[in-house]
Amino acid sequence: MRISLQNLSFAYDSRPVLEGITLELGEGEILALVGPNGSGKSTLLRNLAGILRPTAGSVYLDFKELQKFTPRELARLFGAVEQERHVGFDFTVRELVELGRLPYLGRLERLGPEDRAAVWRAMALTHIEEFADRPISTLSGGERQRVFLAIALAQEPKALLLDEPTAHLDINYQLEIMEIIRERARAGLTVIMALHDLNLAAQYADRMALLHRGRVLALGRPEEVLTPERIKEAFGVEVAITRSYPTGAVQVQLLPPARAGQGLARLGPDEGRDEDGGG
Amino acid sequence: MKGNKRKALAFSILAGLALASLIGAATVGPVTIPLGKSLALIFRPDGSLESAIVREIRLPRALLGFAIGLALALAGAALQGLFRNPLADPYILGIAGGATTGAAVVIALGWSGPLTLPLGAFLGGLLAASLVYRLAKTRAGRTSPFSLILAGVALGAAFASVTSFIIFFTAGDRRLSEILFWGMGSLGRANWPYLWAMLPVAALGWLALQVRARELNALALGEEGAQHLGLEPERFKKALLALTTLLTSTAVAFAGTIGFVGLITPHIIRLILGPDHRFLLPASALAGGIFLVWADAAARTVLRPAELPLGVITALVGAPFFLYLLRTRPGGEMR
Repeated sequence: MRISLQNLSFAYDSRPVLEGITLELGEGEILALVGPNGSGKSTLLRNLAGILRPTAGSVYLDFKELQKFTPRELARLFGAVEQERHVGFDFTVRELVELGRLPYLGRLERLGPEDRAAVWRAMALTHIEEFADRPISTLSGGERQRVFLAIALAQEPKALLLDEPTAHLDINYQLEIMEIIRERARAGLTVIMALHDLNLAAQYADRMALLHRGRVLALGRPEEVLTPERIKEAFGVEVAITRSYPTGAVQVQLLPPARAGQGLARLGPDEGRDEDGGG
Repeated sequence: MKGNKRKALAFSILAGLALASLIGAATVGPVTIPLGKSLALIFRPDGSLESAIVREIRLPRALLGFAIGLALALAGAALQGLFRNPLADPYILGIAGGATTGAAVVIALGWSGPLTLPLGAFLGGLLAASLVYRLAKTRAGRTSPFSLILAGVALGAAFASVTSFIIFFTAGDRRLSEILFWGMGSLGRANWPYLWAMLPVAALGWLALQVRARELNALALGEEGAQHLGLEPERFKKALLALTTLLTSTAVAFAGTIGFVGLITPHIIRLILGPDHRFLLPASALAGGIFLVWADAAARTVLRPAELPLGVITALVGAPFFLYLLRTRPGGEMR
């Protein structure tokens, strides 16, 4: 699905949170939203999901304006997982993933063969079939996150909106989640995700949008967006930018204030890596 | 599948118990009437005193008790799901307290009847429900579990004292028994007109909740999670609050405030059948009805010929059980 944001602004009461966001996304593209806390990442995702109404500007989904979709229709287009989701009662994994079919079912309608197939597909894609009948409380954080992703995939959406999908997860689970997301993008899903881990974002995103105070400070491929100057402007810290040796992805290295003063930020990639290994 | 068999078994047992309780309760009371005879009298009255006791006193009382237990348990199950809080219940949230005040106002104005009482109670209950909902809401638009409970308890106490004041100034010699009736509940006023008003509310309320069972399940993901599934939580919450208030208020109008049925019943059923509201709602409804019929039978017989307030029995059974649940499920559903 093509997603197009045109000059989107949003304010809580009269406090502006997003100002003039303009973005274009194509099918199968992964966009990472990065930026400091309070820069508007989650608010942008909520505006896209139809939970918040933009105060100005507009969003087009395949050339149709977002406001013209009903909540149910939007739930068939977007699979979304918000930050720090908690499940209120101890449902089993299967019961939860079946909730993903809600946008397709009438109030008293039972799950049909198509719905069951979609539920199984979602569980297979997220590798949670073996937990299907376990209560959610018995799963680890990474397993839960996969269940939430499975709910979103059971909606058979055209795009995924994910708010910090890897927060609080061990690195092995982070990798698992990101690989599942990349696989879905290759299958044609458009992905927009907020990530606070710049390196993870650089490794998996096709493009990044660096948000700062509700504006897009930079938009482009990770190596275009992640520069010491822009990161200094958004986060107020000195960093060195290097290249990851095996993957070629851009890497952000934090510099302690004292060293930053010595101008390490301007070191080349190789020297930067040596410095990191030595420390 | 194993889970389905278990559910089928549980529902068969509950349905059987419900029927047995309704018939059984007609034999229990100060005058002993054997089961066979009371069964015969239900269907073929013979004009005797025993016939009148069974048909005019015990049967409507048992049926009303069942309908009220059902309504309260449903309201509790729905409120717990709505607020994702196993401590939610029409009494703890103050809705029953508001309903009592509404009913007391109707009586004080001299308008009491089988339709005006529940109407007044409903208005009072709605006032309480909207107050508690607004008080518990944080600025970000979420309801925190603790402020919800605290606001409910405080409002409930306030409404109870308003009710007592109204009764004190209007009920004359009966003031103490009236305060006791509204504060602790009793099925002593059961009659057929009350029953004809209660039954449709209980039945329609159940139906209206049942069709929203899957949406209640979705709400377990939180409001935002439910929104991502196409739900409109604000509308949904208001509809559910109105429905649970209707069920609660009608129950309160005919039997005063009976605590713990709405709190405990869904809790126990959830432990047995799991949290899926498609099964939790009907099973809680049946279990709540059964529980209240027997609680009333106990209230009538423990100190016979005197009658205990019904709330004494339900709290006696309910409170320790609830505490036990809290202690043995550390972390579990409490967050």
